[in-house]
Amino acid sequence: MLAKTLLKYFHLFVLFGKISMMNQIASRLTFVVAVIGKIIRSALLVVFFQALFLHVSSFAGWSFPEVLLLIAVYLTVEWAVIVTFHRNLAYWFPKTLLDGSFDFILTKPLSPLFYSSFRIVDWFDIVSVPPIVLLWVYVLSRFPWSLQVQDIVLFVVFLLLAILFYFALLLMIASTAFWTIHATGVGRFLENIFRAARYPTSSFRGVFRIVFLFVIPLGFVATLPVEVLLARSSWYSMSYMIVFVAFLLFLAIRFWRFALKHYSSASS
Amino acid sequence: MRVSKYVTLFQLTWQEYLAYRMNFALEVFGSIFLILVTTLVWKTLFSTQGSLIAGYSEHEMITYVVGAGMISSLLLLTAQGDDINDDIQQGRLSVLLLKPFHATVYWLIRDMCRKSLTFIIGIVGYSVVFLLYHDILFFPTSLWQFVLFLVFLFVASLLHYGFFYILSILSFWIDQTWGFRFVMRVVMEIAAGALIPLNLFAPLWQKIFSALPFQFFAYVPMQVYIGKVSYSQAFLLLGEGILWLGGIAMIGYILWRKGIRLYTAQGN
Repeated sequence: MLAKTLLKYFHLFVLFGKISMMNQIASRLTFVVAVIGKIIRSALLVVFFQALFLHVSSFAGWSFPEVLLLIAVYLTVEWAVIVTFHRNLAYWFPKTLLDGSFDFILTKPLSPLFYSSFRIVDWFDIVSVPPIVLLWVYVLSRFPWSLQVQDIVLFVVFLLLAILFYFALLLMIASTAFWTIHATGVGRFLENIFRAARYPTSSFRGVFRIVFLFVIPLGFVATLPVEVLLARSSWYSMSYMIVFVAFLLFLAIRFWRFALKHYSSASS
Repeated sequence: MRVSKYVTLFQLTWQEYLAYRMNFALEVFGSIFLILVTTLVWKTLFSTQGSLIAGYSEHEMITYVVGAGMISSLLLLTAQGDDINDDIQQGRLSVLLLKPFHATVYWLIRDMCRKSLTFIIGIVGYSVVFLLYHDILFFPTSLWQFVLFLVFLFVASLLHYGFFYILSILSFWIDQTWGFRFVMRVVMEIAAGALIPLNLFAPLWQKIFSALPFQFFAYVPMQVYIGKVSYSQAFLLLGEGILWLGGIAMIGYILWRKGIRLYTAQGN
């Protein structure tokens, strides 16, 4: 039964992807230019850290190859969330509340949460993946270690947890749109907060370090997965992330359901 | 030329934007959060790498990062040029052409209004940053230096508007212009010197960035502010900035003249 449901939603996701593709390549010139922009953005992040390393020997205890690995992980997580749910929840979902089209979503024979999170698949980012792959190839070629299968599996698990962490955080914030309607600014706000994850958590000292480790644990996004891959993470930081993400996800889904009950139609 | 109609336009736009004050607030507070994160990273770098990095003391660097971050939080706003693109694409330009002012001035006033409102909303956040770094941040040593800085800011905001204007009125010819604006925004983010001073980059990148006008958005004004350029250099740079402004204005004028001849609108 569960497998059947999962398969149904997977097919729907593929279908959403096809429809999004047709819409997004309708203006081919814009599509090509936007993809170029995405590629430049990834490249410039590397250039930024390269510039820093021209003047410092290490970045809060991280060497340049390690920072490159951090960027690769950060860009991978960013890519995964942008392609799938980020814009859906942050921008397009509040619009459906504003124009009343959320009513139609509720009448469809599928989960409104799934529909609101994955309706539009971002092909601009899917197509702009080559620089991230190239960065991964370059980074992995510069590391002398031989990776074990269990390291890779553990890393992938923590990468997925990082994506779930972001999803749970965004879902909680997006759910507030049921009351505020205009929640697009929240998306921008979260994007800026997320950008702080480009830096290793050791970059922060004192109270801010505690905040970024435990209160708003941005280290979950890139630092911890990298530490897992480098076999540097402690068992308690890994356990903390698992428990925190599971709890946040549980809370976010509960909050979404609670908020959904307070929805009153905007359409006539 | 009657000024009162422009004042009225500014007031009306102000009231319109006030409806979206929460969105503006979240966007600017996100930027301020990023300023805070960047300064924390620099503080850690200075504590581990020494008192001077690339010729900048900690006080100079933090002042630069806060100043450049503030400027970019006002300039690098999202959805810039959307209204110009939409006015042309959706035919609202027809109404604007009947009004007693030029559409270009109308869009400029709306842009300035948005920047002013963002600044006022952001004051609370900026104050927190000032309070945190009151012992590190410094003001220019002379009043003229500060006046020159403000002049550069004015040139920067006009240049910024000019670029988005040019790219947005391309919608006379193409359906969607956001791809072009997105690419410019991406390049602008780093080439403006909003994250780090441009002279920290490798020589090749410095050459590329100095050939682009984006350095006038944050790097040049902040170099003037912290006193890294002499008065003679500053005036030469101001001349260069004004030349860029003239060039942009000329391109904008030509594109408008050609574009408006192609413009058609249907409906009532």
